[in-house]
Amino acid sequence: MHIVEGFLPVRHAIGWTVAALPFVAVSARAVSRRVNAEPAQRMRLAASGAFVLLLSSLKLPSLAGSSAHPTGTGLGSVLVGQACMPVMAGLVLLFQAVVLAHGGLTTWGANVFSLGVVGPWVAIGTFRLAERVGASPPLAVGVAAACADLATYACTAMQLAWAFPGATGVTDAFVRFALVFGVTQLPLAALEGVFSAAVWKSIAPLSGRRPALA
Amino acid sequence: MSTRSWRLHVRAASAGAVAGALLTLSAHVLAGDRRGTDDAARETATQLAPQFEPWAQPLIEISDGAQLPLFVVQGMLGGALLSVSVAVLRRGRFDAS
Repeated sequence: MHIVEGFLPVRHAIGWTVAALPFVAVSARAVSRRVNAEPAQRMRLAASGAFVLLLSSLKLPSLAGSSAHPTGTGLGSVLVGQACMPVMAGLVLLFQAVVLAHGGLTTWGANVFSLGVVGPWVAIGTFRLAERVGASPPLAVGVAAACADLATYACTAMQLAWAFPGATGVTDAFVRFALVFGVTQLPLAALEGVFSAAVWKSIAPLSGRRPALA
Repeated sequence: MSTRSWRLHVRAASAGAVAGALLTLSAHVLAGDRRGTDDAARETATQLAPQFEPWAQPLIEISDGAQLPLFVVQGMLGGALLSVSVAVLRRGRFDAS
């Protein structure tokens, strides 16, 4: 989902950065408030950030003959709340842009919006819906993480389609970009769901609290 | 921080870093020469807008050979931090119970 450095028109790059910054600012405040109110939350926040860092370092092969990265934001959204995720995604994307030349500073806003805003909101919505229909907590976490992964890539496809509509328009371009990501990402999203549920299980059964509201 | 907790953190961080490195390495080995979807998307964008020229370049140029070690370092950092936080969370709950 990393849009490459310089690969969005200037207006789009600025627009997505302007759109992402308020979420990052609110998120920084949410993290700070959470830590001040309950210092024990620091470890949950650390686990959430570390999970994004770890998963986004994995270049996983897919059945489609290509490779891609999982996102890791679904677990964090359930563990510490979606409001805390934009700042974590922003830091990981900044690290990757500066140290690994992966993604970019000019596309940071667009990448934060897909990874740190859209993915986490979809994760928490899916988690609550899954809980409401009676799914077990690990299953709900797994489904939420998989949906967050897919939503992140769908958002990237939308951003690219909007920037590069071609001669046939945004909808056709979106379908083309969605196919590029979707075929590879479907099995990886399922894998991310399983991995997220496993990590959640290693923490949550001892916590005695519903993860999303912790 | 007591010596016992210090040791727990170091052990957890080391184990997590090794696991993170192994995970990242094996994923990259399994992925081999498969093309990344980021590159495929860039290609699609170029087909849709052949006149578009990227207007910025990455701050640093990283050779293909250097990319893997850097991703492994990222995996190690993530693995170490995840392992320490999970260990602390589990111990906290164990102590409380």
